[in-house]
Amino acid sequence: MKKFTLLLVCVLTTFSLFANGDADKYKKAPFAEDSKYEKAMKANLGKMKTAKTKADLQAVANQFERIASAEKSKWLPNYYAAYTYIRMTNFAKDNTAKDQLLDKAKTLLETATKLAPNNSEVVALEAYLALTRLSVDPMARGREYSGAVFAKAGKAKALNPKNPRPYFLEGILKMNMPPAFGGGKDQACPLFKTAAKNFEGFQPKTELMPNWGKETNAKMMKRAECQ
Amino acid sequence: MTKFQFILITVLILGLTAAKTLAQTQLSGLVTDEKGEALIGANVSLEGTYDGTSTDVNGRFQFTTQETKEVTLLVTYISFITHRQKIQPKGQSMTFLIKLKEEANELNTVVITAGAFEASDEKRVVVLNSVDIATTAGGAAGDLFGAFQSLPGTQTIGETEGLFVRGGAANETKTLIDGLTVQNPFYSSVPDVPQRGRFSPFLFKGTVFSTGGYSAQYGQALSSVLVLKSQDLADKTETNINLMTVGVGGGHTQRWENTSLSLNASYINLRPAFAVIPQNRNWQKPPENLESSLIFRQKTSKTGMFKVYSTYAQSELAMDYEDVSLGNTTNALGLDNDNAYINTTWREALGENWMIQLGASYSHDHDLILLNGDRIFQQERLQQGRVVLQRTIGKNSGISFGGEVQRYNFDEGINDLFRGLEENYVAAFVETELFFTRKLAGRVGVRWENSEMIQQQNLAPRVSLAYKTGKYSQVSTAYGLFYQTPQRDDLMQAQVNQTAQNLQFEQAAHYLVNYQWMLPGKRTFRVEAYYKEYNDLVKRFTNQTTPELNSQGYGFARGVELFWRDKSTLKNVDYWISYSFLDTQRDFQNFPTLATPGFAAKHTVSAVYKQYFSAINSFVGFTYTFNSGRPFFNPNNETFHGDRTPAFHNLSLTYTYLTSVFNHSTIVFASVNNLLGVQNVFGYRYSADGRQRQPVGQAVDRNVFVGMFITIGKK
Repeated sequence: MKKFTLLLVCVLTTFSLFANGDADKYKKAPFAEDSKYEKAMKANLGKMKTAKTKADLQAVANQFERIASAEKSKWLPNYYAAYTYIRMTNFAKDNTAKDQLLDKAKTLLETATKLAPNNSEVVALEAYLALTRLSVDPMARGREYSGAVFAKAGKAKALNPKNPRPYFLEGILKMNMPPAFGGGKDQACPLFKTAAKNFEGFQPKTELMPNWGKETNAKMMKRAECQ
Repeated sequence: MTKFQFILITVLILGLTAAKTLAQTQLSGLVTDEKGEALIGANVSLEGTYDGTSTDVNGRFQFTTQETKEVTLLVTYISFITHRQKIQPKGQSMTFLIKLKEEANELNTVVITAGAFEASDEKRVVVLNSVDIATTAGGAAGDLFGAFQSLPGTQTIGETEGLFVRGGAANETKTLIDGLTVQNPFYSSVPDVPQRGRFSPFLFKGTVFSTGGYSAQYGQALSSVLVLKSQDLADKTETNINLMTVGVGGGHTQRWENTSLSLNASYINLRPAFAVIPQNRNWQKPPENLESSLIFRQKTSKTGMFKVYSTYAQSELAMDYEDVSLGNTTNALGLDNDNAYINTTWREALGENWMIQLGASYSHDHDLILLNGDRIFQQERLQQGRVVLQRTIGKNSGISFGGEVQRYNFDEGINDLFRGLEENYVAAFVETELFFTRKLAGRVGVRWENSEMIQQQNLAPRVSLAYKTGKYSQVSTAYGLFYQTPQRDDLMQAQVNQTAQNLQFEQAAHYLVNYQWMLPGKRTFRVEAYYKEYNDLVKRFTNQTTPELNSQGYGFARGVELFWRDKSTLKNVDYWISYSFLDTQRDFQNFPTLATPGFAAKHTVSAVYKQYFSAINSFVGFTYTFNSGRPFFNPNNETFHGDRTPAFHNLSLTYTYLTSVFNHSTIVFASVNNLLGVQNVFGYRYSADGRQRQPVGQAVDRNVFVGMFITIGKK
């Protein structure tokens, strides 16, 4: 009975916290915070992987933004929100709509950069942003944004040579550039190969850490007929 | 478990559930745009919490929160202004009807376009970008001005350089770099040989070519301004080598964090090309140029930029030409030109809303002409300073004001006789750009100018309005008065006659209306109609021994222009078509009556076609230009300018091949101007007795240019 009463008191205390709606106190408990954050992130990352439509991606991006708004010191929610907006350009109707999505991604990435300066993954995502900007209008933007992709990918590699994503992104750009300007399959393949090697060896520190691009890299290797 | 315990637990559970329900607030509602259309996927949340959701396909949302203190309801949606609302959850359900306002952006906000064609690499909603300009066939290959000649409102004048806009002479168009007038944008003029522009299109990140109704920031142009905005810091460190059929060139650009420096030099000699390609002029010494340029950029702060652009060029040529109107003798002409130009600007933000731009430039142009043994020299110098202050008001509106001073010196001499003139010019302007709503915008400005030489002042009002009629369409209209000091040769004559102070500013009033439909990056259609009234043009009476001058010339120009561009229907194809209808007459200079000037054709058509072939890494471009006959003076015809030349046709081709040489990016560029070799005639000259006439034809019937441009640098 004593045991039971003790348990009851514990339960009551916990519930009363809820009942009072004292979420602040609840959030301040570090263990509980992390678990809530992690839970929300994991659930949303799961949704991100299975997202098929524009609406799915929008919902995922919104959730990341909400997490970012509650977790002001975390860079990952901003990072993933930006990443999701970049992916949404596949569904955009016209160039202006694409640029609007990319403008939004840029703002989120700037916040991520402030929270995590000199982070290889954030810099790699900047390269992805530049690459997507370029793809909106390659003829007009090629010169300006190809420089930005190489610069950002280079920086991301310098910060963490084991990060597969900068190699993968650079490979995509090289693949789409005319051979006369240092592009083509021959130039892209070594990059895809390094990326593949790094993808194999890549162990994200936690489940929440960026871990995208492996499948597309494999597809690109096939398309480029890499030996 | 005893009964008591059971009851206790039941009560506790019930009680707790009730307590929990009490503290939980349900929030639901609808998110729409201003018109009431549902917004799908809008993010609805409570700031700083995990609570929130996205709106469904009907724009509806519903979620719960356990917050009980005051929180901010946040509704965000891409390209809409974020909605913030303080709420106090109390346990009862709350419903919201939220209307989001669209953010002003380039697509949904009206732009003042009447009269202007804007080319920009920065803005996304423009008609052309710098690559378009550089790759347009026709005229001289890669010439900055060539692309503008394919736009409506310009005339194709094959015997001389310059932009002839809407019935205006070439001197009615001014070229400006970062707000400062360029005194000599073209190489020195030679009879019946059109000259190239001095600037590479790649120096600029944006251009505005205005064919009427332009801003009060610009003066001394009756018809048109070409506003060039120079590049900021260079992209990267690289070295360029250019090998051409007409010469060689090269340069190096060094980029540091906040600084860049480019040094370039070129040597052009047309002798080898002229030896292969038959010329219609009798060249004794084909043009030979030596040029150098320096471009320095320094980022002085986060918002500050200091720029220096400087060039020095030397050119020489000699030709024999016949002019029956001067008697049937062969004239021997030699020309040596030196041209130096420096343009320095600095811009900086002053606090949040203010911006200052300072500029100074100096240009020096010196021609030494040997004509039939006579030594003629002409020297032009222009010094100018300019300051502009801008204040932004709200997101789009703003006010700018500023002033400029110019000192212009012209000296000329023949053998041992010399004369010169000096003009001091001061101008000030104020202009405000107002966005009443995102759909309706206006620009109202006024410019004041003072000329020391003619002792006159003027006040020029400029107004334009634009209204967005649909998602992709808008109408705009503009009115303005434009003044220009009489041309240097008129001023010189007036100074000799001591009648300079009797002259007025030449004046043009522009009225124009424009409709534009644009699917950004894909298709553009525009139509513009205008009426232009000229007054106080200089008239010359040359039948006296000393030509008398007055300012009683006048005239008009009216027309309609169409433009269509499509770069999305056919894959890898971009084309545009311009049509201009022009009806103009004026009584100016030595005209005996009101007549259509020789530089005005009634109908002008330009068609530009470009296609990219990815399999062979090549661009192919065609430009076809047509204009109906232009008037010329025939002394045997009672009607002044009663005759018309045959219609003009020109088909030009460019081929651009992207490749690599020793692993360095290389562009091979070839162009053929007047592919079909049409023998165009631009006018006729008559002998004094009117019995003989001499056609003014093309300097070359079919011109071929091949160049290889190698870039050495990090890829």
